[in-house]
Amino acid sequence: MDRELNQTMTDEELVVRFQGGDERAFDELLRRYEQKIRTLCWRYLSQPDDVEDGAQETFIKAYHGLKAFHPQARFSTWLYRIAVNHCLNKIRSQRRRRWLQPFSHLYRSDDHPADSMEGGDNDPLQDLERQERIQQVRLALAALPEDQRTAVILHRFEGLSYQEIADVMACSLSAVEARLHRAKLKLAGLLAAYVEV
Amino acid sequence: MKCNQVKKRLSAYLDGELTAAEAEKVSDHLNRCVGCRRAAEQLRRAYQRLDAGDALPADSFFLTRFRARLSDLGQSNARPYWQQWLQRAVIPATLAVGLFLGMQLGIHLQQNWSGAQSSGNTYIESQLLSDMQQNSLTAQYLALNGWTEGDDEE
Ligand SMILES: [Zn+2]
Repeated sequence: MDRELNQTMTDEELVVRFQGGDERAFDELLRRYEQKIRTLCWRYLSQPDDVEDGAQETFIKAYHGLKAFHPQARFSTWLYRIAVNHCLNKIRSQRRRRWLQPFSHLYRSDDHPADSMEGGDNDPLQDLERQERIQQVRLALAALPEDQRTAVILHRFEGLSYQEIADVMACSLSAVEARLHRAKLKLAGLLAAYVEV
Repeated sequence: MKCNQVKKRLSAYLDGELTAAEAEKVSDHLNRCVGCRRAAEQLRRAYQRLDAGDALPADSFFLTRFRARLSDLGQSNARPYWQQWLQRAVIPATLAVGLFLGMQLGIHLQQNWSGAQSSGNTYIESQLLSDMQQNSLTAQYLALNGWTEGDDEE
């Protein structure tokens, strides 16, 4: 199949092609979403290895699950749900391990240096400020309960609508509204201490 | 609309997620109410502080790594069936054998213990009796003075 033709197809058309046995249709889906999924994992997980692993696992699961996927659901929503579930499971298992080894975190830095990010050749002071800001946002997000955190990540960072978030999180529209509202109130308190606008 | 009703819907209002009619009601209220206007401004600022500009760059080698991983997994799935079965069976089988042995040991101990209790008492009693007969104070006294039956030559 022609790459150009691929690019004009919708996600759902590519899904149908993949289900029909065209492997390259999946490659195109991966090209479309790898950055979004890797960034989504990076919002949740601090270690670069975990981010890579989370994104890879998401696409592996998608690859195997796509055969049974029904095209009436949106592919992106379905993919986000796989990624979010993977990340939340990872966080939960890390928390359990940390509970079992209460001092292990003292010997290991959880900070993601974000060194693989764009704009690394800026002025070092600006870079430091940027790192700090990223870290503050990360801490504020980590302070939110799981459901509020996911709602914020999907809305603010991934640009999903309330309805799309409801589909990813398998909850009602009003639940999304309530989660986001509570999250914003909490963030207002948390971030006010860090940054003055 | 009352203030507490408006405040609950401010996030959705700011995110453009209300219907036109709902949004108009909130907007009317904000025009009249300083408190709610201030609350809306706070929410808007807090959310803006979450910088949405930060994202990981696209990685053109991600696809290559994915394909490599997929074929690695393909090989591990293609392991001989008996190996997969063995791996899945080892833990339950060990547990089952352990449980069985534990039960057998328990039954064995229980039987021995109750056997010792029922027959043991009479055994101990007879042992004590024979000891007393052989080592009674009188017998020991006689033995010490050379008056035991066999040694008496006079
Ligand atoms: Zn008001």
